[in-house]
Amino acid sequence: MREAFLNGIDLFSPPKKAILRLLAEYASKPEEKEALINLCSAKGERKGVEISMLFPHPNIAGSKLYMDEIVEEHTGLAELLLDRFPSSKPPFGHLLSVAAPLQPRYFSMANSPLAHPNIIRFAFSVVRYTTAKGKHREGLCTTWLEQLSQHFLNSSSPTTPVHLKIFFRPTRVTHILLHTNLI
Amino acid sequence: MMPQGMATSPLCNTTKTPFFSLEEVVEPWKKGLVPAVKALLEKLTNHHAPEGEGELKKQAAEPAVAAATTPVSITTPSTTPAATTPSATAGGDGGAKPAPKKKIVIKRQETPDLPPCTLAVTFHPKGETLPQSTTKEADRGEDASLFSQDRPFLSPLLGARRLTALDADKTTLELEIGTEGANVAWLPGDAFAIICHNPPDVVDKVIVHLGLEPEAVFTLSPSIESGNVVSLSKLSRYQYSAQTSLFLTSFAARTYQNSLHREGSVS
Repeated sequence: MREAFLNGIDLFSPPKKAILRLLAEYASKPEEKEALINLCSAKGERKGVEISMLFPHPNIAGSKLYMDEIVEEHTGLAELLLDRFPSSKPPFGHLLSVAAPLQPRYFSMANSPLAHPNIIRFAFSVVRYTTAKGKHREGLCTTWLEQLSQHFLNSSSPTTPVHLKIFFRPTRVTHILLHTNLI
Repeated sequence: MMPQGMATSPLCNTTKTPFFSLEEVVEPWKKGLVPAVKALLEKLTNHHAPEGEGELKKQAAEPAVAAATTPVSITTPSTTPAATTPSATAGGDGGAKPAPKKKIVIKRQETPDLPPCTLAVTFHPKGETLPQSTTKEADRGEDASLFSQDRPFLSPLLGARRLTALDADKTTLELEIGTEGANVAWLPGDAFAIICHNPPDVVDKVIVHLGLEPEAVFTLSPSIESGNVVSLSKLSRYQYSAQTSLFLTSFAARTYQNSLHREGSVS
């Protein structure tokens, strides 16, 4: 169970409206239910975003309310469940059916294997920002990596060795360019 | 889109620059579209006229609009007022299919339907032996293409370096990880994926909040509602226990796609 929530479900990305609809279904407090229905409905579009009239499907257009509260604020499933709509407790099976899977994060190799064939170096910025409404947000993967590499950064003695689960995705464009002598 | 064509097009009301951004071209045009479509629809429903021919006009006052270039027959009686709302017209814009003599009933899409529950969860008592999971770390020495989200390579973290100053606004790090044994060839700029996980403290809070048992072991099967969305033979791969976290990810992805697909077909 713990593994399912650790690795399976995306708890921090802005959820799709289908998830909000699911939360609305199982919200026991009427005011939370109403707020959730409002969030996932196209209702807000009428007063708000005009382009939504051209793409009326709520999952494509996104109402103004949904854009403001969920997308712009980067409100994740965990925050919705724990802080915003605590009365909503969807059954596990239904939640699993609808929730988005946690995606792997892609990085680019920044070194050449010709120099060090068995080492990958990659660089990234640690994601930290404050939303328009003053919520502090942190990147899930980058802050985790920063945490893992603390002892290297502080030159303190290493704790237990850390392993990352990785897999490879060749970027074929670079190969094509090299083979056609374009670069 | 060719700039020359755009310059003479009624869509474009500026000729001073050869570049046209979406904002310049589409926005002013769009402003007039919705009222025009609305007016056309009203006209159609009032006069039971099956179609109206007309060129694209950006003026809102002109009722003949793009939707009318394709023959669309709307025999909507006044009992379905939803069909005359602006949102009802947009689906027919552009590549509208002719739907002659068919009553078009478009419901108000204010609230999406409840997404279906496609998974049934069976909880297993502690100590029950489950079929061994097929998930494992890929064996060392295998071809790199064999590594995937389901079979990741365990790469040791070898070093880290801060590329930005300590007091800089943002922190940029360079990490060094080992690939010895992965047998992988790559070029600078190639991509690799890191599988991360949610913070354990948040995970535990959510589990407790939902009234679930953190140590529970469960298996998944397609729910009765889901019909044949997931075949049983596939599902047997997703026997799920504390050791087999990764399969869930791809599984959830699949079912999620399915549910999206079916939602899409509703409208």
